[in-house]
Amino acid sequence: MERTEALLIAELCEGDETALAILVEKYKRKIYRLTMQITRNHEDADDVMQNTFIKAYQSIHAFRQDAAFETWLYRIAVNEALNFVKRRARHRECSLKTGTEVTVDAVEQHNAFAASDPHLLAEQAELRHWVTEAVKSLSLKHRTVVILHDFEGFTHEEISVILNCSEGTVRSRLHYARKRLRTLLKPYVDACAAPE
Amino acid sequence: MKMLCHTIERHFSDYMDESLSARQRDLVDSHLRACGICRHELDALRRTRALFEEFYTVPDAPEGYYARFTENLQHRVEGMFPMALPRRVCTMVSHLTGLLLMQAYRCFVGIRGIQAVLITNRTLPLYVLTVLMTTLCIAALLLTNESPLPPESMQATAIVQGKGMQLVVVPPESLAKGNRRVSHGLQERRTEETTLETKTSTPQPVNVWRITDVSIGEGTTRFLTSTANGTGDDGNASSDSELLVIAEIPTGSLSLRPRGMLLQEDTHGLLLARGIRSNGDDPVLHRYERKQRDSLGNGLQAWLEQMGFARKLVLLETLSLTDVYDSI
Repeated sequence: MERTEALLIAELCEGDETALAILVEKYKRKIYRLTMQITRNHEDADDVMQNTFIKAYQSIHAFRQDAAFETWLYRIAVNEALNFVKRRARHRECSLKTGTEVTVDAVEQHNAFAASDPHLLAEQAELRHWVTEAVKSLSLKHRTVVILHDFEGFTHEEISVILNCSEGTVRSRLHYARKRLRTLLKPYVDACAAPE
Repeated sequence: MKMLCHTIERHFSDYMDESLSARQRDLVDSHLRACGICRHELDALRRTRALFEEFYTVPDAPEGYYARFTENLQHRVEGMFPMALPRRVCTMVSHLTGLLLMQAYRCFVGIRGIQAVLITNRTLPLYVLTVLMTTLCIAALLLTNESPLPPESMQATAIVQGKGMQLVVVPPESLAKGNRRVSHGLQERRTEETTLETKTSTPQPVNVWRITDVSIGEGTTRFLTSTANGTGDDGNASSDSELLVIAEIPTGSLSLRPRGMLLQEDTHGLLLARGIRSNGDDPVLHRYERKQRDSLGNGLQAWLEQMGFARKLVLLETLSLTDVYDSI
């Protein structure tokens, strides 16, 4: 498998678009899932995906085989997505907290309501919604780390390569993100622990 | 104790991930045995992660998105990195013409009235520039009109493994020379064939490429087959012929790029779908999803037998690109 990917990368270095097509086919679903979680918007995720693969194609010569291609591609995707979100935030400074975006306040208000209504826990769809919204309400850097680790399954070391930061920073962000989620989802977490 | 709790708590995340050193882990373990508050906190963090793993969802992409994405990306890559020489020249010419136009504009800005049309030492370079620009524009137009790969042309390159890397190329003009006939095969099937004959650069084998539309079930599937040493006049394979490849390609398109590559193993193979486009919205890559032999199954097998390939065939399953590369 590794050898095959190495072969594809060698072909890509020679400008073979077929190799690109195969790699795109292999990774597009994963990259979409990641960019969708960071950008929270399908159109933006699409833009970021396009830019990611174009950039990978352009800079494949800079890829060193000491890291996995997947990690390298994720690094491009994460950087593209983070830059995109930052640019978007600058353009939409005033409107960021409106629309369908769910703020921390909204999650906390809901928690107060949920704590008084334990029957809500029975509704899994509702729970799914609020867990997802709690993750969305994390800051960009904390959300990215928790998604890469707990959702995508990358190790601390791999995440440090993807985000170009130290492993200690990754651990620290992950710890903070989990604590924050624990606070945001407190009613549900406590309800899970409640004696039968 | 409080201070120690605060210090220990920082390690909870790593403790859950089992990424602490043995010494740190022992330290946390011994503290947890003694401190109920920290045990409760750790439990809460574990439950939070369990909630996350169970209930966190990412919305799926809209239907058909990935197929459209591949197609759009391919267009963009081709636009940004033109591979064919004429397109590269076109790009260069366009850039150069733009530069010359800018220079000319700068020169003309300083000249007024009759001076602009008189050939003087000052205006001579402008006339030279104008002639150059005109030439370049015409060259660019001519190159653009002469598409390196007409969409209706057919070119294919096959690398047949195990046969000494035999190269087979079907030039575009073969399409016009190919005889086209319609034959009625099995009752429920209407088969339309275009036979293309081409000779390799080496004198020995004559390879016959055949494009066949086979109606199986509701849809029509187009197959590209190639036999070594030709076929008989009746369209069936001669006794010493061997089927080199059969690949499913979408109906409505015969445009295979020259760099399309064919892989063949003992029982599997795939015509890599690079550059093949159907006339509809579905790109080929989308169609090249794994199909079990059964899904093509009986109809195809009957057709192959009718064509005389019988058991000498190597039936190539159509696989996704990833599947093929994974299996190598």
